[in-house]
Amino acid sequence: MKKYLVIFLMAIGAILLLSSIAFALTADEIMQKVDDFHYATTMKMEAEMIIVNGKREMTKSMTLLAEGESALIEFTNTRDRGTKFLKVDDSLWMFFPDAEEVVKISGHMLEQGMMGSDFSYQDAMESEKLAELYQFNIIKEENIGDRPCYVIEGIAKEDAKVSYYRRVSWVDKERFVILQEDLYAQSGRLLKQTVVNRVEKIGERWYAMDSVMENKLKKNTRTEFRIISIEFNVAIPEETFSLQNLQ
Amino acid sequence: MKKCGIIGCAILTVLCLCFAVFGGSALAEIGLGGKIETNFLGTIGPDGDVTTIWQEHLNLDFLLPDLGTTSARFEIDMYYEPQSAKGIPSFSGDVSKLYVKQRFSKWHLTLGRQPITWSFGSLVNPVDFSVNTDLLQMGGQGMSENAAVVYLPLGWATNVSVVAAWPELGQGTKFGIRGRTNLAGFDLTANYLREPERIVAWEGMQFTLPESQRMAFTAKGDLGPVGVYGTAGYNFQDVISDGKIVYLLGADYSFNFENGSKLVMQAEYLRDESGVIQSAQTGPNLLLGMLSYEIDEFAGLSMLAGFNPQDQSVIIAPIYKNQIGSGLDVNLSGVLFIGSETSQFGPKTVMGVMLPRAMVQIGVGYPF
Repeated sequence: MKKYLVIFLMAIGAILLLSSIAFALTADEIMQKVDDFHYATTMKMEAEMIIVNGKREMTKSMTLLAEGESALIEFTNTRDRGTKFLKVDDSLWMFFPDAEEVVKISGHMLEQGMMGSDFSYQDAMESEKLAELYQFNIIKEENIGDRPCYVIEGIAKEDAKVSYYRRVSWVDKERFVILQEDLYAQSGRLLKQTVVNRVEKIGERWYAMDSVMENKLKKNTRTEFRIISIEFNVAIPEETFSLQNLQ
Repeated sequence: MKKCGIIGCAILTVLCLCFAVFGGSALAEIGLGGKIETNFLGTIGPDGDVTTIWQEHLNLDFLLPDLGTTSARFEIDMYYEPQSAKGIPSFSGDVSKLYVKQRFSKWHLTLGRQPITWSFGSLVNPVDFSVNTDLLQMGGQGMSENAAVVYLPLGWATNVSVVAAWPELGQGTKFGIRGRTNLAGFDLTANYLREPERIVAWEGMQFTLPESQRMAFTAKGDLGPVGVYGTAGYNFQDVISDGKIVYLLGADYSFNFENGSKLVMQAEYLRDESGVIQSAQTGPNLLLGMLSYEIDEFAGLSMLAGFNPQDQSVIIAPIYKNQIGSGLDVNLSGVLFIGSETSQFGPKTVMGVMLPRAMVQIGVGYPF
């Protein structure tokens, strides 16, 4: 009897072990889930950026509309009131409110900090799914605070147009939201680090509502990005992402 | 004082109209923004004599609520010099924006005083709606026109705008048309401009500027990591212009340093054979460049320079900007003119005004 009990317990253990292996997610599957939560057909957001350098800080408030590879940002804080950016595919356009003129911005400016922040225009307005741009693999598992996470490394695919050659992401195992991300150049140098301070469940998805990005090339600076309100899959009028709407 | 009265009347008129149109409750939604600045301007004359001017500048931007598809803008600039060059207090003002915009289903109409610019990102624009030869924008705001503009969108990046402007009331209509599109990542425009014959008064004398016509093309895009842009324009033959081409080629590039700061570089070559910007005396060629260095998120340093290869004269303008405290802007800028008396940037008298050797401006501003 005792012998059969041992065999039975071993069988249960084997079944459980095999189950965990069979149902373990791959890195691509994990990042696909992250993409599914992070990206939406359309998005409407109200947010603010707090740019901090030492003891000095400035706040930029904005509204953002995004659909596919298009995004429209309008700044609403006093200093930059009326300034707008339109991204369509790889083109960036800027509306100057004083002259009421729209000018195309050179491509190399996409990598520069948006309005002085640590978020580049590309960071702020990127729309492609990570799973399409990077080859992922799981490095390890680790906790961020009390949240168990997959630590996933992504290397840019050969023809992918990306700002960061390598990225290491700490993905919440339960919520599939990135809680921390390190962004690297091809040389191996750490360029930026994003840490998420607050996530919220919006509908069926968990979304990072409060995050801090540090440019690791600069000392003593950071940019906090706080989402005040966000809606997914909203109806956006067809002519929204156009030069006429910038003016 | 007369101008103060005119601007005050304009403000009251607009507010009354807003009250009539929007009603009392909507009137409460009208916001007020703008900027207040104090500037100290110092000039060093050709003989080393120094003159200084204090100038106060107030920009008021009335944030009017939209009424469906109708929007309006009202913005004014006021300047006060407690002791002007003439030795007495001077007040001046300009209504930079006072227009109504109606968005119809397939086109837009904008009526009133509004800025009209046909910019393509260059440092100097020889094919703008109003050609501004003030390279350093030292002459004030200057781009607003009394105009009617019809804007016809034909695609997300394709549009046509037709402008009828009246720079000097009673002196004919300035007419312009501009088409714009995006092709293979390049922003392309074509424009045509016709200015009527007009009489201009200066220092008690009158000058007749003949009718003029110009057509031009512009392009802006990227060649690899470098931004490139250019224009080719043709000024039809008249008393001033010899009917020759004006063209400009430019490029810009940004470089990131190891410490995270960046340097943006921009360089242009202008060849004006038409005489609109570069006269026969100065020669047709002009080289311009700008370096802009981001010290940090709050401060930046720029250097603008121009060089005339024919007469070897140079203009250099360093600019330092910093944001301090709770949003106070500090600007420190200068201009240095280097050249002989007959050169483009040398000390000489232009339209009765002696150009200085150098200028310094220190300003503090606060946007609200």
